Amino acid sequence: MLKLNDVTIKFGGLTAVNQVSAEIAKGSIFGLIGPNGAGKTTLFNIISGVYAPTSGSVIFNGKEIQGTAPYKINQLGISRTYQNINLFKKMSVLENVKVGCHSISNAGLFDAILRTKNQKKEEKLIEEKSLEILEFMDLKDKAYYKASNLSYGEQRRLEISRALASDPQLILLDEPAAGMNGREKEELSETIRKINERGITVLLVEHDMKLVMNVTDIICVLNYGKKIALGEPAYIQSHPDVIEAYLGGDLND
Amino acid sequence: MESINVNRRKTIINTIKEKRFLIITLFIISAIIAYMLRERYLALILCFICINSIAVSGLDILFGYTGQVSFGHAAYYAIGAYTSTLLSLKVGIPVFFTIILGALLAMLFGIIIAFPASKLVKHFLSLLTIAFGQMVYMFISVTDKLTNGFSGIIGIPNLKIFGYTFSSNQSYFFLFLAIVLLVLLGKKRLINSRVGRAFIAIRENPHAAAGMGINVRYYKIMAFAISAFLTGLAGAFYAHLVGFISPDSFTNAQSNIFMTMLLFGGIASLVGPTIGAAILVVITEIMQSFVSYQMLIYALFILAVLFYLPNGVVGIFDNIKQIVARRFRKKVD
Repeated sequence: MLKLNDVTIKFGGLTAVNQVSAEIAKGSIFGLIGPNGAGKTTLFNIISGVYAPTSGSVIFNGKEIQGTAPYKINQLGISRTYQNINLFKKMSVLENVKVGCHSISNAGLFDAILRTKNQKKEEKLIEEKSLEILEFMDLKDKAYYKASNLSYGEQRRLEISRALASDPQLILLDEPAAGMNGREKEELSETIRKINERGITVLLVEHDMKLVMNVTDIICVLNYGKKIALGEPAYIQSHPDVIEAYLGGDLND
Repeated sequence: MESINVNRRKTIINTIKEKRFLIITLFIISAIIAYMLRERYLALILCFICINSIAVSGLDILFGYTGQVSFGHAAYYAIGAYTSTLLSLKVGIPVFFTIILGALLAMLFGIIIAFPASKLVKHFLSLLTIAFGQMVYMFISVTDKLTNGFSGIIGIPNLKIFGYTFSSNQSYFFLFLAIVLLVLLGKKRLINSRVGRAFIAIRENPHAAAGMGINVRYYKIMAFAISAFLTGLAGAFYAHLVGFISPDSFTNAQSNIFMTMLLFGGIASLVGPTIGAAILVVITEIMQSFVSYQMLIYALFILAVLFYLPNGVVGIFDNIKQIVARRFRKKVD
């Protein structure tokens, strides 16, 4: 579904991502791990169109998409969440998800002002869909809260809800467990599996090893912008380079 | 389940209370309007309130909802006024059409400005809009042959629709009132739509908005277009109502007045611009004898907003509503 071919990006003298190649199979849960500053989020930003790679290509469904504007990437079917929560704070929870429906709806200015039949129908669909997603993410009873009044874990869940609203084929989750407590993390693994069961491919960047090992099918490990290992969780856990570079010791603590 | 029912009952009671409040307010406003309409001068003030309310609503869509600041809105006001005036006076096109053309030309300039402006934020955007305001002001001041320069243009014809000529301030008022209501209705619909949500999302977080599939630049330009259209429309109305225009009405100070009205009335709210326009027009008229201190007074208003009323006058109502709701909740508990 998504293929990275020798993706490289340089910021001045720093090579943040260095010739990374990987393929994410349709319907899989793909983990991307690495120490701080390994280039995980940068790679995310390349896939979601925030940065254009210096060289290499990103192929989504057989089409080169590197350097495409972020809003177009979303329309193609890749949506994302943000590491540092980027919600629309003054909007309600429901409205945040409704904004997420932007790509899959198309009422324009005049439809809105004239309240055309199509616009009303579309608004109704957006509302139903958004509420359905909030129910799925267990946020429905908070639908009319201001986004900024949610707890940290709930805000993370809202980020995922908003990303789901555009019916993505691929969802990029950037450290969704950051700041969550143990129970919330467990619920999150469950949620990620449920999202995957909806037929959505998941690309997950995460620091929490237990979660990553638990939930992913394939893991790619980055260090200093370079891919050092790629494989199933069990293989990664025993890979000497990974242990040396990142984990620094036994995983099964 | 029970708590949901209680909540629903609360909201129903709240809406009933709100409706009662709304009816009483409307009644008082209509009484004031009816009184003011008896006098020509007072009717003119009502007309000014309407015109400013249209222009400031336009500014609100740009600044309040998409977060793009403009300190040069007098430019669109001028373009609307001068276009409509010149087309009706020199070309002889019926006034009804010239008003629309004036608003459309203002919109066109809004779009042109929006192309560079949509890439700028904060002080860079402020400077660009100030510069544009100055450019238009200079243009209408120096093109003597076209605009008669500082002497201004007199004898601007009245609006005529289907053979009815608007000749009194009272008749203009009813037209303007209808347009204000239409603008407010349109604004309400716009804000609660896919486009409106895109606007607010851009204001709240442009990066996340782009990540959600919103073409940020396109919607920023659209906001500029709507904003310039409304302000241009207001400018055209102003010209035909007063019958005289000169560059003095379209200075930088006018842009600041629009901004003060918006901030004072309440930013990103439906009736905030109208309330702000009403209060500031009335105060300006009362202070007529202190014209030279006008900007000082506006500055005080802005300071008042910055320190005590971050959400404008509308914010006061919201606060009262919250206090009442809290009291009510205590009673229910």
